[in-house]
Amino acid sequence: MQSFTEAFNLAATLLLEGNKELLEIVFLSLKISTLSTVIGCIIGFPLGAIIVIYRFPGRRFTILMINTLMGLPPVVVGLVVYLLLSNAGPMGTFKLLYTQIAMIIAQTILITPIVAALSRQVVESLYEEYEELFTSLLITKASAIFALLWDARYSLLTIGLAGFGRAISEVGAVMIVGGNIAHVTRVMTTAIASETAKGDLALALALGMILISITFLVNGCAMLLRGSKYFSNK
Amino acid sequence: MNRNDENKFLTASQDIFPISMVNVTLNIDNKQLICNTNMSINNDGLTVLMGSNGSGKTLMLKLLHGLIIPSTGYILWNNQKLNHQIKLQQSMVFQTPVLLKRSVGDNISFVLNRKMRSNYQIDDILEKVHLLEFKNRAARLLSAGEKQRLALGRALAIKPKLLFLDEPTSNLDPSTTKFVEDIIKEVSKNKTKVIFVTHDMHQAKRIADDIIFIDKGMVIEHTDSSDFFNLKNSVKAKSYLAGKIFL
Amino acid sequence: MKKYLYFVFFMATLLYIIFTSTDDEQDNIILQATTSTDNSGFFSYILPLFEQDTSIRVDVVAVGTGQAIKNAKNGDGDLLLVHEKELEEQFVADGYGSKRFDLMFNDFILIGPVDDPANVGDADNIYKAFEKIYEKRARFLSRGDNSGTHIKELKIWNEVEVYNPSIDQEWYFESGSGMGATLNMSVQDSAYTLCDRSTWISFKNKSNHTILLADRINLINNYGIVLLNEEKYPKLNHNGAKKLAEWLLSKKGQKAIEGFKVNNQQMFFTQ
Repeated sequence: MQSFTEAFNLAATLLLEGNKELLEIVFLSLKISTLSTVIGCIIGFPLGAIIVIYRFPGRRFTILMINTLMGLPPVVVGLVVYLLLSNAGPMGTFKLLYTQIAMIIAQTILITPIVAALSRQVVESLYEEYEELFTSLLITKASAIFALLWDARYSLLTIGLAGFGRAISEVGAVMIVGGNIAHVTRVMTTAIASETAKGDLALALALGMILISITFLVNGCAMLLRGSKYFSNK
Repeated sequence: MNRNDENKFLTASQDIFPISMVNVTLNIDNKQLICNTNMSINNDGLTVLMGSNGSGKTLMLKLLHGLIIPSTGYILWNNQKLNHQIKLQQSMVFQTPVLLKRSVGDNISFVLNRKMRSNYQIDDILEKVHLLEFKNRAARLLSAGEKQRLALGRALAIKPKLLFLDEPTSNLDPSTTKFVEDIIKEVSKNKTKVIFVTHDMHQAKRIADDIIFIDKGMVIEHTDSSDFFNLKNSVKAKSYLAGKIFL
Repeated sequence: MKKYLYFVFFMATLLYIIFTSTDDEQDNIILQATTSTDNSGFFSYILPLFEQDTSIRVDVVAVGTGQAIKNAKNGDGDLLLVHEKELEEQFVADGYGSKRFDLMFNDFILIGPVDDPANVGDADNIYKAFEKIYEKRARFLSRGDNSGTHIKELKIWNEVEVYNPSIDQEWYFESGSGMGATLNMSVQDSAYTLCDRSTWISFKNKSNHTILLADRINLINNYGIVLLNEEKYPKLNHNGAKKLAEWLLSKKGQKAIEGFKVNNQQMFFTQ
C-alpha cells in the first residue's frame, strides 16, 4: 500500500529534521508515561507483596478487585477521572482537568492494578520458595516484603515495562482528561487520533511508527540492563 | 528485626535443653503422620534422625524447629514452650538449599543484618565453607555442592545453639558430602547441638553420637550410635539395616 | 540510613517534577470548541495572532458540539465555540451562558462517491437529495454523536417526512464518532455523508469522494461564541474569555477569520 511507504518516509523525515513539534509530543509522552509508571510501581509492587504476605480481612476481595481493575478500559478511567476533576466534580477546586497531572492520575489508575496483579503472581511464587527459610530465620513480614521485592527485581522490571507499554500506548483516558491541547497535553496517541480524524493517515501512521520505535528502544534498553553484569550478580 | 531482639538475644541466651516431645501427634488432611511421640533430646552430641523415605523424619525435624505446630501434644524446650528467644537460637539447612537471588556474600549478610552484627564476619564464614573466592558471584549460579555449603555457612552464621539439617547431602557427591560432614562434626564439638536427618545408614554410622530411628511416624528406637549398630534391638531397625524395609 | 536518604531524595524529585507539570499562569483560557474548527487548522492559524496582541494563551479542547456544551455546563471551559445555534441559545436561556454572538459561518455539504448512485448531484436542494438517497436506499453514514452536524442532519430528515432515521435500516448507519473518523468510514464504505465544509476541505483522505451537493440556503452552518455565566461559574477566567471573544468579533479578528485559507479556499465567512 502506498500509505505505508509514504508514512515511513514521513516518519524518517520528521525524525531526521528534528521536527520541534514532534519532539515536544514525544518528550511529553515519555514524561507522562514514565511518571505514571513510576508511581504505579511505587504503589503496585508493595501492594502485590502485601497481599501475598499478610492475611487480612478482605484480602481475597482485594485480589478480585485488582484482577478486575486490570482489564479496566482506558475510556472508563478517563471518564471517572474527568468526573472527579471536573469543576462540577468533587476535586474541581484543584483545577487539574486538562493538565498533565490529570493525565498522570488517569494513567496511574490504569497501570497500578496491572503492576499489583502481576507482581503478586511473581512474589507469590518466590514466597513459596522462601517461606520456610523466612520462618526459620524469623524474618519479620515487613522485612520479608523488602527481601521478596528485591529478589524479584528482574521480573518486576519486566512488569514495570508492561505498565509503561500500557501507559504510552493508551489513548482513551488521556484524550478525555488531557483534552489533546496542542503544546500542553498533546501526546503521541492523542496526536495519532486527531491526525486520523483529519484524514492525514500518513502522518498518523508515521507517528505510530515512531511510537513503536520508542517502545522497542525502551524494551531493548531494559533487556540490556537485565543482561548486564551488575544486574545478574547482585 | 530490631535492636531489641539483639539485646534480648544477648542477655537471655537461656538454656534450651533438654528438648522433649510430649504425646506429639501430627495430622494433615485426616492422615496421622506423626503418632503419639514421646522423646527427649539432650544438649550434647550429634543426633541423627534416621528412617526410610516417608517415615516422617522431616516432619519430626520441622516440628522440633517450630515450622509446623503439632496437632495434639506439645514440645518443651527446657520445660518452656516455644518462644522467640528459643527460636533465635536455632537454624536450619534444608534438603534443597533455598538461596536468595543475590550474591554469595549478600546471602550471608542477609542473616547477619538480622542481629545487627557488623559484616566483617562474612569473610570468616565464607572461608569456613570454602566459598570466599565466590563472594561476589550470584548464589544461584553456584553448583549444587557450593549451594549447600553456602546454605550451611548461612545457617552457622547466626551461631546457633541448635542446628537442624534435613538430608543436606542427599544431592551431593562423596567429596562434598565428606566436607559437609566434617564441618558438622566440628560444629557439634563446639557447643552446638546438631540434629541431622538422613536415610543413609553409612552416613549415620560415620557421624552420629545417638540415633533416633523412625518408622511410619513413630519413634522405634533412641539409643547410642554404637548400641544401635551393634545390638539392633528392634525388629524394624534390624530389617531396615538389612535393607528390607525399603520395599 | 543511606538507603532512606536516597528514597527521600527520589520522592522529592518525583513530586517536584509532577508539581511543576501544571503551569500556574492564571491568564490561560480553556476554549471548548468543535472538532470541525480544530481539524481544519483554524486555531493554529488564528490563536498565534490573538496571543501576539494579548499574550493570553488559549488551550483548545476540541470535541463534538454536544460534548463541548456538556463540558462547559460542568464549568470545564472558559469559553464555548460551537455550531448549533438552538442549543447555544438554550444554553444561555438555561443560565449557563451569559451571551451568545454570531462568530462566522460556512455551509454543510453533501459528500459521496463520485459515481453518485442516487444521483443526488442533480437535486435542486438538500431535501430533494435526501429523498433520492432514501428512495434508492443508498448507503448513508450519519455522525450519530449529537454533534452540530448530526443535529443538522436529523433536522433535514425531519423535513423530508418520508423517512425518520432509525438504526434498524439496512442503508442508514451511525458512526458515533467525530467528523474525521466518520469521513474515513464513509470513504471506505462508498456512503453519503453530511459534512461541514471546513473539515472536508482540509480532510486528506478524500479517495474517490467528492462534494455532490452544496445548498447555501438550507445548509448554512453558523458558528457561535458563548460567554459563560459569571455568577454561576465564579472561578472561570471570564476576563480572558471576554478578551478572546472581543478580539474575534473585532474588525481585526473578523478580517483574520476571512483570511484563513486551506488549499486556497476560504474556510469561514463573516457577516
